[in-house]
Amino acid sequence: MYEKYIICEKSMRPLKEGNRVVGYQFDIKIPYYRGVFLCMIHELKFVVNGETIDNRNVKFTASGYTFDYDELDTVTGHRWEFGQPATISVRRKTPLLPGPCRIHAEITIRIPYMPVLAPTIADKTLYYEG
Amino acid sequence: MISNQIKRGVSLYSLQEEYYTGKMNLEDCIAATANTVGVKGIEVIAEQMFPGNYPEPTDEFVERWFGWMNKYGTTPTCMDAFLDYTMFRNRLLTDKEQADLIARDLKLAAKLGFTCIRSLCITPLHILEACLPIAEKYNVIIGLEIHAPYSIDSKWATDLVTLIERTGTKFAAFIPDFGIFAMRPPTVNVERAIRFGANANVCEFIVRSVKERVPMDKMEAQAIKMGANQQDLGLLRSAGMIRYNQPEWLIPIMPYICHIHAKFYEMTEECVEPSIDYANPLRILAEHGYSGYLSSEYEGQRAYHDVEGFMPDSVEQCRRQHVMIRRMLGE
Repeated sequence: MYEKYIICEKSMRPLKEGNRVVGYQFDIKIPYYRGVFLCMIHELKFVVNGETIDNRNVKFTASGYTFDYDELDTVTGHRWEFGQPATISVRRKTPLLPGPCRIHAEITIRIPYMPVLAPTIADKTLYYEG
Repeated sequence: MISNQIKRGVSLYSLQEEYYTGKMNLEDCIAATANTVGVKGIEVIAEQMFPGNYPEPTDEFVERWFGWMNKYGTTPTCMDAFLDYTMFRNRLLTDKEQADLIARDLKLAAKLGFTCIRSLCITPLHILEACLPIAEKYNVIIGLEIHAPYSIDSKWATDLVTLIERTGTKFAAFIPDFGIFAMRPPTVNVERAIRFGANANVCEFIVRSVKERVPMDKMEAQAIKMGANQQDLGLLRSAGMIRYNQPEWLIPIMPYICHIHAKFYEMTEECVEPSIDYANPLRILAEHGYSGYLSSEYEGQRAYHDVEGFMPDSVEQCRRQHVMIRRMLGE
């Protein structure tokens, strides 16, 4: 659901620590018609320019709070709200080169009335200015 | 003309895409319901449009909410609740934890003036029963949604009737969803399947077969003979969810209906819903004195999520639906 909107336009940007670029960030919206507590995010998978992202390098920020990917399972007090972008921060040793950046996202939410877990898949090319 | 006491409203679920994309905020949705659609009942999925205020609303939000109700002359009707028993990866919630979730939603609904909550059809009845004293305390009815493929004519529905009659409660009820009166796969879903590569002739065959209530196995065998591809079979499987309920089945459960989802997929320019029977269920509801809300639930927008640069006008879709309803009720 909402495939065409999930990866937010013009959201690709550098991840910085101080002045140093340590990776990149982009925003995604929830592929569901309501918000959820973060513990209900079952799985996130990202492929950026053909490179499968190791979730150990991913942080998830929603409603002003940031968590390591592995921490999401425990988060019952913070939500990814409907229509509000969450920020995906990816640490990367070498900076991405400026230019078009192909993002592939697979997002699985545990929905109580759905008999099977199925990801929503979204693809978009964003422009990374560096 | 049939005289009737039916009240009308919109579930803001209908306007979700405008909200999701930032074209409308919560107040815009309430204003559009009152001023453009011209109806006064407001149904909301709390977890959709109350960001930062679920499950505990701030005092400021509660004040703003009632301020909007006054400003637009609107009334809160139903608050849609979920039952996230799969909240955790490694275990299901216990009965007590599930009852606590329902209690939390009842409390929120009461605080915002909703008279009922929609609970999912998967809500176990023993948990619903355990929540009845809390529902009574907050004076909010728990309505179980009759959503396809669930049906009025089922043990599931009979079991809730039995529970209501055994306990004498006024706090458990049904919320039929008009999807149970679907006569065919929704037009917009057929068009989507064709965009994804389904064969028009196979789709046509599936639509005709559903209308004629051909059994699924026969339909599938024939579709395969016709050379059905994965997209055709996807449409066929979704057609398996359609169980046209006889509108007369509403009559015995009428005293136990607290709210109705007027589900629709598409309103044409002529204000016709081509996929769902409205005329017959509306007649039955009017004739048998249904006096609760009929709440628009537009769900066609998701059939276009693959189409770049196009978004249906959900407010206009709801407006057309109420033109149709008024016409059918002779108002």
